Amino acid sequence: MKDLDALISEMRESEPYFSDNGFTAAVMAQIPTTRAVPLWKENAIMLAATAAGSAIAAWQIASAGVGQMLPDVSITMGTTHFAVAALAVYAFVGATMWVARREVI
Amino acid sequence: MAVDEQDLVRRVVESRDRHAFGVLVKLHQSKLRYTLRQLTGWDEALADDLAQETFVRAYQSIRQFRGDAKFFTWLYRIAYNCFLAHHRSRKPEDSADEETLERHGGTRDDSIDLHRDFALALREFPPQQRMALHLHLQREMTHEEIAEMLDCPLGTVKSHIQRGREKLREKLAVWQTGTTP
Repeated sequence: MKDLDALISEMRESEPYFSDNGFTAAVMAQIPTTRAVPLWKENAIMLAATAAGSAIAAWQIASAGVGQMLPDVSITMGTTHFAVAALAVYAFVGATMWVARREVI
Repeated sequence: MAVDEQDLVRRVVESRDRHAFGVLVKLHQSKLRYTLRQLTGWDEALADDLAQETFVRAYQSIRQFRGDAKFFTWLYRIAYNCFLAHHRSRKPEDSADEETLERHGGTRDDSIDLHRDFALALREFPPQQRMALHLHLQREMTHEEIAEMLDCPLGTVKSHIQRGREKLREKLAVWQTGTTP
């Protein structure tokens, strides 16, 4: 006759191992997807980097006098129009990046 | 290769690393599911649902894990709270008992009979005593550890276990005579 302690000891030693069988996948499907860096921050950094790069490039072009080699631009578009167009391009690129990243997630 | 659990937890806490959390789930799923089967009278479906809920809650609140206890101990506390919430919202236990016994009747597995009968015997106890008995007898946790985990006085835990053992001795008498039921 076994006493309770022997029975419990038998239980501890014979504890069954349950195969995962998709358990972990089911848990992972329920946990929210989060990013190490928030999406808005990542896009803001990308846009800021692009804007900074463009500014440096524009400054280099101006200082090298390359701008004088592009008379068509100054003739057909005023400075304001040119700035608005540049902002529109930035906004379009930013929006495209934002949509593309959302779809990846 | 040995898995560094602390490193996995740190990766989840610091950068919400889903892969690291997946490894933690794989590491602990079997023991946690077993514990919940013990608490639910070996209701496999319910135990697995509660285990999933436990892991999801653990992920959501992992920043509250301070690392002063073992990860699994912390996980047990969440599992107990999930079980308790379910227990408070369920139907009367009598009907659930019959339901569970009937369900097991069709899929009897001799290799787990003792575990299942132990789980059914545990159903006679209130949730806190059930958990205390399981943690002490199966997981070999000390009275102090259990008192801390269940947030109840040490004396209550000791009394739960002492009285529980006496009752279990009666409930599992058929196993102690060596005659398989």
